[in-house]
Amino acid sequence: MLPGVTWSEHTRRTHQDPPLRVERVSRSFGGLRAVDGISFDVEAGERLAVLGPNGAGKSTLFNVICGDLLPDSGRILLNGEDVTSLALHHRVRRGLGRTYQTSSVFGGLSVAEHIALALRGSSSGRLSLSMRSRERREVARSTERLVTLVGLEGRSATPARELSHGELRQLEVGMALAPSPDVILLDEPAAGLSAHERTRLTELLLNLSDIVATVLVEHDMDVALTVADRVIVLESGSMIAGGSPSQIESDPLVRAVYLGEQHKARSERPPARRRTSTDE
Amino acid sequence: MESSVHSKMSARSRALALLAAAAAAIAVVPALVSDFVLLQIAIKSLWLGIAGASLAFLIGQAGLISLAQTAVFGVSGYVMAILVLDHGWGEWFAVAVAAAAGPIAGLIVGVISRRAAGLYLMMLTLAIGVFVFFFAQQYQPITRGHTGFNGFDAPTLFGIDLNDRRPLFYVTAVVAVAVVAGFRYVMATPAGLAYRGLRDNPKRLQALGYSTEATTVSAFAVSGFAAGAGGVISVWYNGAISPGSIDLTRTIELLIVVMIGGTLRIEGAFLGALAVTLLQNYVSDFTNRTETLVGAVFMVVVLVSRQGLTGILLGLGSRAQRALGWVRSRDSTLDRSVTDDSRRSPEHASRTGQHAPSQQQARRLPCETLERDGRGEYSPP
Repeated sequence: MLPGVTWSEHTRRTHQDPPLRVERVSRSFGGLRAVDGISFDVEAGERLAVLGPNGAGKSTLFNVICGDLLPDSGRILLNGEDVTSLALHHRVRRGLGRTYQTSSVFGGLSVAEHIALALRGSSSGRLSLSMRSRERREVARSTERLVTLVGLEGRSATPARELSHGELRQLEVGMALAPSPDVILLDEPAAGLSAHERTRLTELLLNLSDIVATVLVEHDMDVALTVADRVIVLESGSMIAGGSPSQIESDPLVRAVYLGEQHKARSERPPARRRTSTDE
Repeated sequence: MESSVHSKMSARSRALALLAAAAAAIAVVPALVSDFVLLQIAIKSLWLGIAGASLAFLIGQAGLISLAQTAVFGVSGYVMAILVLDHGWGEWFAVAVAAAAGPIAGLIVGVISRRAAGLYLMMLTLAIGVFVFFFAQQYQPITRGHTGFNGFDAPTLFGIDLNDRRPLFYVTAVVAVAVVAGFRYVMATPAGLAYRGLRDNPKRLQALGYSTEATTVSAFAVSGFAAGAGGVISVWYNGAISPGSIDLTRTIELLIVVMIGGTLRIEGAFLGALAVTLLQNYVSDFTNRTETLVGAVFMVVVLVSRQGLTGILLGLGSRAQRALGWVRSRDSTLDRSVTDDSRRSPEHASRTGQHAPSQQQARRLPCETLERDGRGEYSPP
């Protein structure tokens, strides 16, 4: 969170368990094993980047964590609670926030209405038919802060359909942050952004609150390695490496996977190191 | 903050002005029109508009195209007729129960169709509508079969007989204003925002913590209030209710009312109801193919504007505003040209083919320049 900027007076985080735990998750499509026994924890305030080339299983893993896909085996735990069989909206109410790879917004709603909708999504009054002036004031205040936080000040009344691609990405992050989630999942947030917008997004992600665990699925290594505290790399559904950004950058297998020299790197590397547990 | 206070005040004063205009219209209409117009056009347009408003709300606000609103409307009408004529209930008690039956029937329709969307929702609600129609037609012990209930007298209100045209018009008009005000209130609540989210992007709404099923059920229940009110007043107006009041033709008629009126505004349903009622009453003087003509008008209106008559009127209004804005802008440019800069004169503009931009266009220009210059798509903070 930016210093002095808060949109929520409370935090729900009182658990000792990690905000997000992924336990031996596997998912197949027919004969293709898209995700194969992936396990990791994400601690409060930690930023974890999930990297991998196209078809590595990043999106499948992301969708399994969100609840869009059910895993064939394994468990997803949010704050220690098994949410594997819960629908997306139940996971969101338990502290999960997400963005979409292709901006997914409500074309007819303004920026402020998007944030207000997201702010109320985790509250019990989300379908209230009464207008309480105190609640409206609080939502308006929080909306203003969040709109400023994600850099959309002055655009509150603009309908989403009139926003640029970069602004839509900012709005996506704002909506994910609105209900003060414990975990936010960002699906390629830098996709299609200009260099200026990318820098702005990187700053925003680096300034996220210390209590929010962030999982970043990203194709762009520059953004991921700048933002992340820890990185895991997937290939063909399996985790092939994990560690700090500097370790990942110097990992020959990761370089080989990204540069296409796979066979060469594998032959140079002992088989025992091909999987690295990130839970350690 | 100041601007929000101003906008709140202007919204409130606009609402009060609308309410005052509606009250004035209600007071004046009976004095201006003949008894025939009052009964056959005004009152019918109002109760049909009330029922249409429930569907306009579902389609325009929640994106739920339902073909079961006539059934909800019919449930309320039947409940009132059954309680009064078969069970001897007091008329106003029956009205209260019938009014409550509307949202309950809406809730049931919502629960049944909570997981359906688009074409499947239409098919499912059509099935519900057909079921209610056949139930009314065939379950004689309760509904009196295909003859239904006839000879229903509207109640008296503070000693005034609502079977008379004028009192019935006033009551119907007040209910219509209450329905519009009620829907406008709902749209401003958290639920109203959620309905619009459901309309625009249900999957995204779920990703914000909303259950799309609960939101759907809630929207159907809310719409049931208006459908129920329409059902009650239609029985007062017709003095009868039968399966013919809720058959497939009536279902399609309600849909046509809403589509001709447009779903941009709840008030559009009343515009559509007025158009259909006028056609039904006056076209029959020239041809006996009234329904064909209504269908043709429906096609023309939808082809001209996807948002029906409301869209056409709003489009004309916005063009007029733009034209006025252009005139004002041209005048101010003329003033400046006299004092400041002769190059900005209208003569120069007409010579060079450059017209003075409207205020709105002028505001957008810096942003467009930024885009063209490739320095980013939004103004830096």
